[in-house]
Amino acid sequence: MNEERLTEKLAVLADAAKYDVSCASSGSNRSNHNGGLGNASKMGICHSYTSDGRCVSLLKILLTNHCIFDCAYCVSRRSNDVRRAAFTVQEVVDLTMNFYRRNYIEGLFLSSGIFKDADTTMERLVRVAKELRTLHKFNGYIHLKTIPGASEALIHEAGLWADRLSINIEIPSDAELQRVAPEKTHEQAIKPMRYLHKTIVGLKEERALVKRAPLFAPAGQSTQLIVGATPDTDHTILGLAHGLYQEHGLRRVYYSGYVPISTDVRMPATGSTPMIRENRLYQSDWLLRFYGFSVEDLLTAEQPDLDLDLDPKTAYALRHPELYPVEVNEAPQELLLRVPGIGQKSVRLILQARRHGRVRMEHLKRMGVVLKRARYFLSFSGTAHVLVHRPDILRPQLIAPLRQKAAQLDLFA
Amino acid sequence: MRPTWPATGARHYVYDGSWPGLLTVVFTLFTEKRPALSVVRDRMQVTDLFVDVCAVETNDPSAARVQSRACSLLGARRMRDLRLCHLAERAEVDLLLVEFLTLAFTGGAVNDTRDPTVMGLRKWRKHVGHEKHQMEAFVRFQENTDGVWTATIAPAYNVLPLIATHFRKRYADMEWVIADKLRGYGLHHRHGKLHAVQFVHTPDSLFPAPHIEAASNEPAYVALWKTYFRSVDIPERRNLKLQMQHMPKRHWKHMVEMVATTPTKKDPG
Repeated sequence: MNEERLTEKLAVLADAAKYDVSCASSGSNRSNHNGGLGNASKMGICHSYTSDGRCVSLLKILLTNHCIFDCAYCVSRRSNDVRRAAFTVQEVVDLTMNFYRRNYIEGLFLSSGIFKDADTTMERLVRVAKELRTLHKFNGYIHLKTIPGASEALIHEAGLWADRLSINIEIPSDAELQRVAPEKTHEQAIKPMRYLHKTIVGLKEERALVKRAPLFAPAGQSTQLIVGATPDTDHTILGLAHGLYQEHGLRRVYYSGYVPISTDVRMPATGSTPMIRENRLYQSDWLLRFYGFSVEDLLTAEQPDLDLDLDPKTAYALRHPELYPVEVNEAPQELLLRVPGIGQKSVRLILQARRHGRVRMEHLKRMGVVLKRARYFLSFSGTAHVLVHRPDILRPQLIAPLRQKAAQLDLFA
Repeated sequence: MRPTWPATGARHYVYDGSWPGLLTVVFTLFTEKRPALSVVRDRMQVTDLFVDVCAVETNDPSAARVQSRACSLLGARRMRDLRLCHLAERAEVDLLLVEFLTLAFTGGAVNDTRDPTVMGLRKWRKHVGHEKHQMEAFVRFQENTDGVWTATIAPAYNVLPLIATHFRKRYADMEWVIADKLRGYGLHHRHGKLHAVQFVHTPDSLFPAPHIEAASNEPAYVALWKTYFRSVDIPERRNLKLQMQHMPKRHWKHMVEMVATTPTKKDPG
């Protein structure tokens, strides 16, 4: 092992990969069936946290940052003057195995610049995964990047070795994408997604009948959207995300606040995207997937951006005072889920408690309900908060406790 | 707490800290009809001079009766949760457990999420479960010249029994030892079999033990991991409070990426 050279490569190729925010190691169920090394934990494990508070779960690296493309938002674009490096297949395999054995990581997330053409790059990624799985009996988590334009045969093989595959759309609208990344279109990303979705669904049905049908990308697909690099609104972003969940069965859409790593003239001269916008998008994403909200509930063409001062559920509640108060002791699950400060777990606990008797404010506190928000929108056996229909007064009251925290966030944004 | 019997009969119970011991406390409490004011492992923890203290000697047949009755009332899954809470090794939890079993045996609503005892145990299940999950994440193995992989932990609760299966499955092809330095014992894994090992050394000198020496490539991989850890950081977004919230500082000294110096061959881990 040439430690010095390897260290240098690792520094360059980890740094170049860090703007891909996906770190999930969850959603797979691969077991250590062959007495080899590792398994995939259903819930995922974060093995460490960086000083910005992000989770480190996978060894997230590029195979190489040599790239023939020139996407303005990307640090590895060919016109950017950065140090270039490339790992060999053996080096990636060694690092993965040795980090995994020390319990540093859950697995590997391998991406790459497109160094010659799509197929050559994809073939190399697939080879790393195949060697890990076959030669080294590695059953830990593997996330591979799908290279746009790679052949279906290679993409299919990737699905056989990897737990998750992802292809980043990056720029939320096609028009903006073509402005900043002339070689790319949305369709290039959607096409492999469609193919993978079809195959995942098909093989899942087969597995239901034949237990021995091969695993195929058991943790599904994900993608990433860059926020704040282009003028795209939150309405565009969430609309796109919603479509991806519905049509292509994506497990996750990640939102990455744009960090100005680029001095490319095609990019905005503004500073970083505020963390809070990224945060609000994730909150909305959750409301869409788990709380029965629609994109139109949260945003409209007239109001296309999220309220940065309030979480999206509170903002919704203030726009719709007619739907509140929600009666704790009678409301159905769907309505309880629309109360700010009440999450899925609390709803389950409330429904369970109601089988035994009437639920009061002090019970909610023990269940983990955030009363400083929820109390304005609930009624207990008919008694509601006096301000329930005064969103004009409630708004500043609900923002006040958050303001201090927001100011702290801004300092570091 | 619950007025099952006249509160005047209540007293303090002292037991040996084992699970059968706790079940024997429940057995005693029922045969003598005297509820618990506290359940402790050490008599010195009782400071109350005016109330009876009952030292309960663990009795396996009694414990087995309580266990099987509780299991038929609550189900195996719920019993696992109770044992998980017991590993918190806190007097507060022991009292909750005794109260909860009393509730179950007297036909109380064990699923009523308005009940402070039910919710109290739920909270502790979460705490202990969280510590277990963190230990699965933060254990750092070191490879040694004899081929054994070793790690030291200092968990807030006694979670080593809970993480054993996870590590046995994951590192099936490795011989490893995870040592709990606070409790002076560890788990040894070899060829799919797990054994508990007691350490005779004082807690702080578990490692380095005389026969343990880091493998020759160990410092290199530690250094590579630190390089990786530094490279993925985004300094523009520094948020140490968030980092500490996810990864409490008390774990840092056992995590190589958070320790300033690279371990040398003489002084591993």
